[in-house]
Amino acid sequence: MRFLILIAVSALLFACGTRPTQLLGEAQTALSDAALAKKCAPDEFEAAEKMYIKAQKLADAEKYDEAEAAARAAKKLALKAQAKALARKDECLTPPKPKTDPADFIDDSGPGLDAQDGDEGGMETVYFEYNSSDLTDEARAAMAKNGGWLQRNPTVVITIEGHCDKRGSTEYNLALGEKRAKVTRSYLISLGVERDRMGIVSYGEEQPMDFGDSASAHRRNRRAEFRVVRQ
Amino acid sequence: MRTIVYLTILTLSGVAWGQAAAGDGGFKFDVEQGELVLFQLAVPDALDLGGEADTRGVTEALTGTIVRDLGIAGYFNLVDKASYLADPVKEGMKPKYKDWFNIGTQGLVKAGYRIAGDKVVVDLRLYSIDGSQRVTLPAPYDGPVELPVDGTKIRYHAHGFVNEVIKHYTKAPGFFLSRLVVVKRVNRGKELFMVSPDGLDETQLTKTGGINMLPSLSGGRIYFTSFRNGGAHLFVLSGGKAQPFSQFKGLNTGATLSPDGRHVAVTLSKDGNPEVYLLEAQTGKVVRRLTNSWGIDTSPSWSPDGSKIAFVSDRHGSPQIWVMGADGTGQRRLTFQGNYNQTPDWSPRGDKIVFTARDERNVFDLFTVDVNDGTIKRLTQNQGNNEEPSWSPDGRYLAFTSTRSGESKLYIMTADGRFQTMVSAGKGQYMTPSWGR
Repeated sequence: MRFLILIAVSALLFACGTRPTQLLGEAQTALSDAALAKKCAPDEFEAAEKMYIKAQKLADAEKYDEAEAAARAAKKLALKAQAKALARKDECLTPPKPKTDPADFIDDSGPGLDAQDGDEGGMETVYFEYNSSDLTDEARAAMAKNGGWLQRNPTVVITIEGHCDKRGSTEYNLALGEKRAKVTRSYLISLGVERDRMGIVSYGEEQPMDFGDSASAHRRNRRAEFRVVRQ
Repeated sequence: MRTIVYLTILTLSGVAWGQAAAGDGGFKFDVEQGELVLFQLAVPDALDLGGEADTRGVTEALTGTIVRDLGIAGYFNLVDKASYLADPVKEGMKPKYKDWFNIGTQGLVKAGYRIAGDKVVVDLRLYSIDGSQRVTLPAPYDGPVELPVDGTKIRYHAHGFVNEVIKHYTKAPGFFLSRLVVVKRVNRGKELFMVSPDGLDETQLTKTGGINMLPSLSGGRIYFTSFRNGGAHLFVLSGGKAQPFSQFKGLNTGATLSPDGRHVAVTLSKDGNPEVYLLEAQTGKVVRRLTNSWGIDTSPSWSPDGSKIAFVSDRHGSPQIWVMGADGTGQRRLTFQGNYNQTPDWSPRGDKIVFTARDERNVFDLFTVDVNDGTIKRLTQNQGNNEEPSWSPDGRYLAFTSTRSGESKLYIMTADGRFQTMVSAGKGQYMTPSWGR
C-alpha cells in the first residue's frame, strides 16, 4: 500500500516537473499548418490559437500539468479547424455561384402555338358587366343573331373566347373569362346549336381589345369573341 | 424627447411611404411611437487602389449596388456625403474613427478595387465606428476577392456583402442574393423574366411570342401557365425546354409547390368550374380534388408547415380569402370586409396572409389578415393600384406591383409597409412577381 502511494506521488511529481515542450511544439505546428482555417474557419482557428496561448502561459507559470492538457487541446482544436476549413474550402475560396442563376432557367422551347386569330364569320362580339358572366339584354340580342348565323352555316366549327378587363387578379380573370365563354356556349346550345361545334378558351385579361385604362376601354375588353376554326 | 426622422433623406431609395399622414408636406415617422430605429451608415464611393482606370463601371457596380440595396432594405439612413469630415480618398481603406464618429455615423462601408485586365480585386469592409473596429464578416466577405470585370458578378458580390451588413445590424441577413420571376408584356404576348431584388440583371426566360404567365419559383423550379399549346396549360422550367406539367381540358393555372416539395396545388376547370386540386410534383398526376363549389375556387397558397392552403373563392357571391386543410377539410372564410379580395400569399412566418383588395373607390391595395384572429391591416394607400403581393423568403419583406408612377412597376416593401421602394429598372409593365423560395 505504501509502495503504491509512493509510485502515485512520484508520478505526479514527475508530471508536474517537466515543461511539455514536445506537445507545445506539436500544437504550434498544427496551428501553422492550419493557415487555411484562418480564412475559412476563423472562429475555430481563433479558439485553437487562444488555447495555445493559454498553454504557453501555463507553462511559463510552471503549471506543467495544466499546460500539457491545454497544449493537447490546442492541437486538437487546430486540427479540427483545418478539417472544417477543408470541408468548406470551395465556397470559401471561390466567389459564390448564384443560388438561383437565371441561366439555369432559360426556356429553349421554340415559338408557341398560341391560337391564331380566326375569322369572326357573321358573328358579333358579346359584352359583359364588371365581374359578371350574366348575359345582358343587349348580349342576348347579339347571341340570337350569332345563333341564327351558325344555323344557316351548319358546317362551321367555332371557338368561343372569354375575355376580361385588366382589373382584378390575372388568375381570377382567367376563371372569369372561362365562365363567360361557357355561359355563352350554353345559350347557343339552348338556341339549338350543337355543342360539339363550339370549343371554348379563356384568355382572361391577356388579350385586350383596348390597351387603355378608361371605363370605355374596360367595357370593350369584357367580352366573348367568336372565331371560325373550320368552315 | 421626440425625434422625427424625415424620410426625404432616404430619397436614394426612391419612393418611401409611411404610416404617418403626409398632410404636412413630407413623409415622416415618429420614432417614439413607431419604435423606428434607423441605423446611420456612411457609404463613400469605392476607392481605386492603384490598378487600371475604371472605365467599365466597377465603382457603380460596387457603391451603386450597396447604396441601392440599403435603400431598398429600409431601416438605414445613409449619411450625406457633404457632411463628411474625412476625405475618403486620402484616408484610404482604414478610417480615422474620430472623423466618422463626429458626424454621427454608426457604421462605415469601405469599398476598394484594383483592376488588372479582365480581373478586378474587390475589397469590401464594414467598420463599426462606435466600436472603433472592423467588423469581421464571414467568407468571402472577410477580405479581398478576385472577380471578373463583369457588372453582374461584381453586383452579386456586393449583394452578398450587403446581406451580411444587414445581418450585423438587424440580426437577420438581407435578401439580395434571392431572385424574383416577373411577367412582362413583349409585343402582344407575355414572357417570364428573372430579376434581382434590386431590379437589375433582368433575364428573359421564355421566348414563345405568346402568353406565358403566373410564375411560381420555389425548390429550384418555376411552374407557370402558358398558352403555347393553345390553351391555359401548366409547364415546369428548370433548365432546357419547359416541360408540360398539367394539360387537362379547360384551365390549368397557378401551380404552387408544397413546402416539402411533394405536391403542387393548382386550379383546374376540367370537372366543370375552376376548383383547387393537389397534383404529384413529379408526375403531375391528380392526388385529390380539394374544393367543390358552384363558384370559382383558385389561387392556392401553402402555409409554411404545409398543413393548410389559403385560396380565393367566390362561393358566397364575391371573391374572398378562404383557408382549408391541405386535404381539403375544414374550409372556412377568412375575410369579411370588402367584396373583392384576391391573390393570397401565406407568410413564410406562418402568422399572416397578404392579399389584394379592391375598395369602394375601385382602387386596389394590399392588406394582411391574421390567420388566427382575422385582424386586417392595411399596407398601401393612396398610391395608385397595388397588387399581386409575394413574400420574401424570410417573410420580412414583400414584392408587389404598383401603378403609383403610372405604369405597373415592381416594388419591394418592409412587411409593415413602412418602407416602399420601386425596384424595377427596365421598360414596360411588370406583373405577378414571384419571390423565389
